[in-house]
Order: sequence, then C-alpha cells, then structure tokens
Amino acid sequence: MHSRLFHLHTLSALHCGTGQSVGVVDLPIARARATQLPIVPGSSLRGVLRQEIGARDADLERALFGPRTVKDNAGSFAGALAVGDAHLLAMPVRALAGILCYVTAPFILRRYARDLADVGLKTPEIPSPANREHALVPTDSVNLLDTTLVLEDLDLGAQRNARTQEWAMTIAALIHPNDATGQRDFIERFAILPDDILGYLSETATELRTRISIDQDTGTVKKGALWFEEHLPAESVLWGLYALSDSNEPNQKRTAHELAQALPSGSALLQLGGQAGVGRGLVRLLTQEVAA
Amino acid sequence: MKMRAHQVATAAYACVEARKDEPNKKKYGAIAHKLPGMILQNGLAQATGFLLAKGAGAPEHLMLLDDLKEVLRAGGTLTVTSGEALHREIIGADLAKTLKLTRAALEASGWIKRYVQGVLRVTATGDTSNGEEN
Repeated sequence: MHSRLFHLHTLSALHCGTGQSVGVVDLPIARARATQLPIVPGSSLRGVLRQEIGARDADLERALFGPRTVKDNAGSFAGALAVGDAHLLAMPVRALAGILCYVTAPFILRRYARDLADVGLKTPEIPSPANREHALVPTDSVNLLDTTLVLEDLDLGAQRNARTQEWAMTIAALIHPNDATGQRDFIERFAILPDDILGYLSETATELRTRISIDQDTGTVKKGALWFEEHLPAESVLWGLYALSDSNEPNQKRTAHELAQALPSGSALLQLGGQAGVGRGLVRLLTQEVAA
Repeated sequence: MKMRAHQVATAAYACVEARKDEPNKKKYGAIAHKLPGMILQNGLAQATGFLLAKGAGAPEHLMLLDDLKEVLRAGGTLTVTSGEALHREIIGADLAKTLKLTRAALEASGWIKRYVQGVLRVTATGDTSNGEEN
C-alpha cells in the first residue's frame, strides 16, 4: 500500500461535528483527543467521496469502497481505498494588518513534513520562534505592524524569516497549484507561531455561530431553541493521507495504479460535514496528480 | 487526591444550587448559557467586563461574575475575593497568564452552564425546562 497526499481547503465555514457536547459549545467540531487540534475524520471524507464517485461510476465505487449492501460472506470484499483523518495545517486568524493571517506552528509542521517525506516530497527546515511570545513571518509578509504581529487580541513580537518564506511557498504551491494570485495571497499572510499560542487559537479562534429556531405559529424563538455551533473558518487548510491497494473485488481485479488513474485528480469541489442547508462545508479537495 | 474537574464541578454545583431560590434565576440561567460563547467570541476580558458593566442595572450579571470567580478559586486558578478583583486580575494578566485564565474560565463557565440546565432547569432562552430539552 502506497501513501498519497491530500489537502482540504475550506471555502465556507466547515462543521464536522461530534454531536451534542456537554462542554462549552453545544455542537463542537471534531478534534484529535491528545492535541485538541481540529480534524476532519477520514470517515466524513470517505462517505462524501463514495457519494461523489458512485454518482459517476458505480464499478469504480464498488472497487474503492466495497459493496453497498452485503447479503452474504461470498459477496463481501474490502474496498481498496483507505482515507485518513485530515489534520489542521494552517488556520486563518483575524489580523490587524493584512485582514487575516494563516497560522501554523512547529509542532504541526513536523508532522506535516513527516507525511510529505512519506510521499516523496522534500520540505524546508522547520524554524522555531525565538520565544513563547514571538512569531515568524515570511519576508513578504503584509501582517506586520513594525515588528509586531497582532492576531485577535494577541500582540506578538515577529521577525521576517527566509525559512518561513520557503514554508509558505511550499504549502501555497500545494494548495493553489495553478493560481499565482492564490499563492501570493497565502505567502503574504502566513506565520509560524509558538505551539502554545497556536493551540490556544485553535480552541478560541474557531468560528462560533449562534443558531435559533423560530416557532412557525408565534414567529418567536422556540422554547429553549438557542444554541452555539462551532466551525472551522473559511480558508482553513488541512492535510491528510490516503492509500490505495489493488482491488479485492473477485473477478474484477484492478491494480492500485489503475484505480489511482480513475480517481479525480487535481482539485474537486465537495460538501463536507453538517449544516449544508445553511451554506456550510464547501471545500476543495486537492490530490496530487498521478503520473501516467 | 481529587481530580481538578471534580473540584471545579463541586464548586459550580454549589454556586448554581445557591441560586435556586433567587427571583431572577431565569435571567441568571440565560446569561450563564451565553457566557462560554461570549468568552470564545469576545475574549475573557471583554466577557467579564461586560458582566461588570451590565451588573449595575441587572444584578444577575454580577451574580454570575461572582460565581465564575468562586469556581476559578476552587480550581486553584487564582485567589481573588470578588468579581471585580477577578476582572482586574484578567486585564492585568500577561500573555501566558491570559491563556491559562481563558482555558480555566471556559472550563468553569461550561460547568456553570451545565448545572444551570441540570439543577435550575433553565434553558438558553431563559425558559424553564422539564428536562427534555438539551
């Protein structure tokens, strides 16, 4: 099995939830247990991909995801596609200069670099901010006010840094492969923050929407119907790995390479997660081109 | 040894239960529901400043600020003795302390909100629930 890389770029707020919570927000987004960093579970992505591919090619769907219904053991086989969770790579945060800043941290970049190495991509060395109140920005950054990066209510000392510029260019090339303007926009607004600050922002700078439900008879809010939903903001960037094996379908064997060729490549528009009816969950799924 | 979450929960339970017979317990409950979201959306200083400002005309805001202070004390986050002192502590905090206070306040306000639902039976809109709503 050979790992392949994918990125998700959210075009609208994204709510991949975990159901009702007993915590701070009524409907929180999914997070990794150990890090509390936002994730999009592989199962969410897999379901949407199945729907998308199944609408165009039922045979390919069977090979990739297995049969939809299993009547007996003889008709059962495993799908050839394994989709991993998508992890937060860069999150847009309100900035005093430049409107917003795509923030990440050395902790995230180390894991990202490891996964990129697995698929044969080289990455720059990871720079670390000088201290816990210090950020690194690309040489072309538009987020600096003199030497300060103001994010939400946080004033961080910041330094222009060539390695950070290289990282911004590396990520921008992967998420905006044919869009020079998109790349420039990302590079100018990128920053590497200390791990602690990124962790704090990933919990407090996600988007909260207050929802209500109207009683149709009275035109007023239904009793108790006021709740908070959490979303990953639009313009968030996530990454993950997927893998293809040779198909397990009896009598219709296809190699992993053949299946990879049949998958949509480049950029695909998908709707992920909940609240689709109120405009949430529009994402770009970016997969690497497969060499012929 | 007791888990920190249990210490915080015990204090939140006691604070909310003590509001059971307050005439404005519904208003207290409605604002308690909003507090965690208020902290997340506006920041801790803004949220506690709002409670302090509104408290002059609507005492349930000060009641909630006082309960937040009490729960934070029980969790060992700080040792202040009034809601106003809590707000002063927050606006005087450096970056590292702000991160810590925010996380602790989110945890404390989450527990207060939960007990408002479970003990006072007040919903987010300030209505009383029969226990069937969320």
